Amino acid sequence: MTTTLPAIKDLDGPPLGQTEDAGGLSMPLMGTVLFIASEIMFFATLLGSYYVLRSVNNPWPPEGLETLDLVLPLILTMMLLTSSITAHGAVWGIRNNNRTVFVTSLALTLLLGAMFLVGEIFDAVSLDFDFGSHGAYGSIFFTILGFHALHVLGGVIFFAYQTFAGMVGGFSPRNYQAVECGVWYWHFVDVVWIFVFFTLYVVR
Amino acid sequence: MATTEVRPEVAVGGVEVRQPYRATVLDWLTTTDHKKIAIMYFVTSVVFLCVGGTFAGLVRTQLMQSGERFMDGDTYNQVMTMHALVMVFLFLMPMIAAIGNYVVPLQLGATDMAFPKVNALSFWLVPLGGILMLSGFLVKGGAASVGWYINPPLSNSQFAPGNGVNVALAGLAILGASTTLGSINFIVTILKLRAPGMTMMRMPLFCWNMFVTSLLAVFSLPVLTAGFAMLWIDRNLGANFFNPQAGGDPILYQHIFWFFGHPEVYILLLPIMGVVSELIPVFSRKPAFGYKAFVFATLAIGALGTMVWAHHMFTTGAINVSFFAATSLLIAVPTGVKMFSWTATMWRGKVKWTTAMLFAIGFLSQFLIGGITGVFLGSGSIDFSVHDTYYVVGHFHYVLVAAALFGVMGASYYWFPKMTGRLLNEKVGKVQWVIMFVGTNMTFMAQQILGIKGMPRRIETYYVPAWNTLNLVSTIGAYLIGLGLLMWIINMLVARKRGPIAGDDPWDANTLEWATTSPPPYYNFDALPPIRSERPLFDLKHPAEGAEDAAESAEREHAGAH
Amino acid sequence: MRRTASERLAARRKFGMLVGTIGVALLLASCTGQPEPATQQGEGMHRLYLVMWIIALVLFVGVEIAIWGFPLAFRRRRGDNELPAQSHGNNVLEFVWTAIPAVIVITLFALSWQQINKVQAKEPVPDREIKVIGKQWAWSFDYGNGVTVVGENATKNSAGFANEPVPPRLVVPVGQNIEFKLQSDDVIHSFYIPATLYKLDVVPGQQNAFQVTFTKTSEDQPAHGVYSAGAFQGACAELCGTQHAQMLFEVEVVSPEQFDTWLRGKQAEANRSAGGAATATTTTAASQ
Repeated sequence: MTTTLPAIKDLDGPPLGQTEDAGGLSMPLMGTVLFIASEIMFFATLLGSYYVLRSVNNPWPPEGLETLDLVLPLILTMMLLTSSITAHGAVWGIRNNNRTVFVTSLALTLLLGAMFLVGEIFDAVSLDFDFGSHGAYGSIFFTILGFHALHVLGGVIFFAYQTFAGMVGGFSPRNYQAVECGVWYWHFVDVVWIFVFFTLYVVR
Repeated sequence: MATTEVRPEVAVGGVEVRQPYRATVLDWLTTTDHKKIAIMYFVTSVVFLCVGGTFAGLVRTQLMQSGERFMDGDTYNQVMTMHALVMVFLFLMPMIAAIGNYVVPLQLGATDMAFPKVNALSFWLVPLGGILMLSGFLVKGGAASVGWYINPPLSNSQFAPGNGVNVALAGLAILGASTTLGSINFIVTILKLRAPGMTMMRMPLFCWNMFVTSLLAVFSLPVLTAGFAMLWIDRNLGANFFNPQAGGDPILYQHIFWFFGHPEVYILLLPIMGVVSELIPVFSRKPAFGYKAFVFATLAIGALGTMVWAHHMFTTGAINVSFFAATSLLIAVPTGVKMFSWTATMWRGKVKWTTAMLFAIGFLSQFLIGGITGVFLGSGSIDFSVHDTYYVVGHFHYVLVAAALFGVMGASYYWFPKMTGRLLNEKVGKVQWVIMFVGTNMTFMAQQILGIKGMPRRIETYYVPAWNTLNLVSTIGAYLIGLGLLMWIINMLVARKRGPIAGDDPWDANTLEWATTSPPPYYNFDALPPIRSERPLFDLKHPAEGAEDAAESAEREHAGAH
Repeated sequence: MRRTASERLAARRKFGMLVGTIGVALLLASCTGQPEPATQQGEGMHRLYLVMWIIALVLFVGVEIAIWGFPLAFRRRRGDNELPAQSHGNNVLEFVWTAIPAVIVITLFALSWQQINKVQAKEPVPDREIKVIGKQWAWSFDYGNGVTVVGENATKNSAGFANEPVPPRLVVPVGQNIEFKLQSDDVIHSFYIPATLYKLDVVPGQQNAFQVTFTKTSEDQPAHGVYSAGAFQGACAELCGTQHAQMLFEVEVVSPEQFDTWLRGKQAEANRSAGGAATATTTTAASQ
């Protein structure tokens, strides 16, 4: 019961290897954007949970935790925001074939990220509550902080690899998409931090 | 025989030359070809269907009569929980990934998915997550026995101290990552890799449904992952998210779970609707009636599907019942549009009663029951009486078995020839259809009636002898479904080697996957026909009607531009 | 052998009627399955259920006839290789079949909304309050003043299987507005009396309550398995662990006079045991 098809090759069909949609975001960037979208939903759930738990518990924050030291978190925020600028510098560098700017900016970003992590661990250890204490407050506080830190760590490892690759001649003005994807992800990590910072330290 | 050239690869890969065994295995283990990954997804999914089906058989055996002592309460709860988790996450989700992986790039005229390596990763995470999840049966305390929504406080470390819940959570997180990555892959493939001429409004309806499903998955799965992470931290690090004794909120977990859980229903169902939207036009020999309406209905179902989650929580006393009843009922409208459009596609067609078409019609007639009972549940008020009873069990099995599984069957009878080059046995298929149609209706109609009478769900046994007859009917029906599935598997195993040769286009079909050999070569196409509508192959075979198609599609394109 | 057109038509009609009859029979079977409502609130629900049922039945029969009838009526005859007319859609028709379900759904919502409000409505002061305590895996009922009905967990046999449970009996008066206050200290349960056509989850840490007014007594109820005669069935509807299936109770609805007699008897019993307990341990049971 097979049907006979006209020979497709002789027809005026579209050429192979081309696509209908040639403009817009490149495939890796689009993939990154969608990945970031899913991450946004992840953090939205955690932050949403914070506000739900805040609404069902009174007082919030619990007694004994009325104040949090804001100095170190503010410094950390500044560091992370700066690192977003240096990350952008890395893309500018490789796009303009300036390897020095590229590698230096990437290394700076990586360094700022690592310092942020160290600072955050220092801050977390200095707090006198933990996962299980003070009801759900400690739970949600450290969960949000911890998952954000894990994302920063992921970015740091990714940039460490790329810095190394850049130093030994990887990437070029025509081939820097992986760097760009990493930088977009880094911007996301920064923006989420602003929400995390305001939720955990300012709004409370 | 087809007149498209016989390619050397077909002869080499097919019969004449055999690769050494080790090379074949290595080839499959390392492949990034979407067709091979799809076949691996398919096989994995069928294996897990057998596992989940065995669990279902055990559950129905235990419930055959009142006071039955086939399994004790704890064993029953484990088997019942794992039945649900396996069927949802290890059978239906990978099955949809299988069909999507095989069909989407071919229907788009693409050579592969957007990210072939990520695709391979998505697949390999499935057996990993599955084995981790099922390993619960080996750990101390047994597998998770808390129901598939793993509600705290029942699932917290106090009431479920064993490791079963931990491995289930870890396995599910891995499966969630697999689906998220897979969905990102589908979205990018659909947005970026359509062949020249295939605009969004000329995409086959199956691709549209996969697109919306993938968007829903990217949107909702991370929410579940976050919820599972919080529950895991509660259990293992002593946190109090969901512990009511220490300021936690168990209702919060239910919100998180169902915020994923309801879109999940559409993640499972939309692709199957897509399959049916392919089968019915092909076998009615007419275009889909109201292509645009189909597309908008799909988008509407996706959008509304994210706003109805709390209708699973009507009886918690913690939500606004009226609001969620309103949004839930609204979904009936786009669903109704699809139903009417499918039937109108068959009106004045010339319907070929193939097995695949029979399964598509079976889908329609049984999905209708699932849909109507869904309106009762979604109304909010009636739900108070039937929530958490066998009515709900019957309802969602009508949707996920009587409808979705029938769609999967239809898809397999339709695309198996493309995947293997050989046709499945149609007569066996029709007998299988009759057995399964009788089986599903016996099983799930009996359950719905039991639910209305007041039989709660998830009970290990019951003490009302008046429920015996209907439960027996349900159990016999379940065995019949199992028999049907066994016939299906044997049919595939036999046909793979001995089935009649299918040729390129055995169904006189419409879309691009039939414009290449069966199975297609590694790179999919030697040449593509011109694409002027959603049925490029049909247009090629029927130039006069093809011109009409092109005009219709151009008009649609024009209207879509506003 | 080819059949004539009229024969085909007759066969088609016969088939349509067969499918229709089976469908109607199945639907009616589940329709009549709903327990007769025993409360004011349940009566409204039952009426709504029947209204929805009729609408659903009409839609079901109509659409099933289309689903099976169209492909049968328009099946491809052997040797017919002509294409049918290629219709791509019809805007008017598509609008109509979007609008009609929308109207039906909005109507249903309006009806349902009324019922939702009715079953959730509460008198500020109910005639009687009963505290329902769900714990793994038995129900207890607290009438206040130390009067309680305490359920026991089902026993297990030597092989680890649960034995038949003995459902505790909740006694309530007919015709009075009763508020059930639900309380759990372990996991989530669900308080379900099928004859009220209502259930509400018993959530730890959350004050759930609802009010019902029984409209008939339970004296004519036959025995069903572990449920004794003269009582409505009750069960836990939310999975709560190993013995979830054994977490049953029964509801005896009696006249207010009988209820008062019963309550006085229980009160005397409670006073005796409270008195005994007070002398022994000076607890505060009596003051509760």
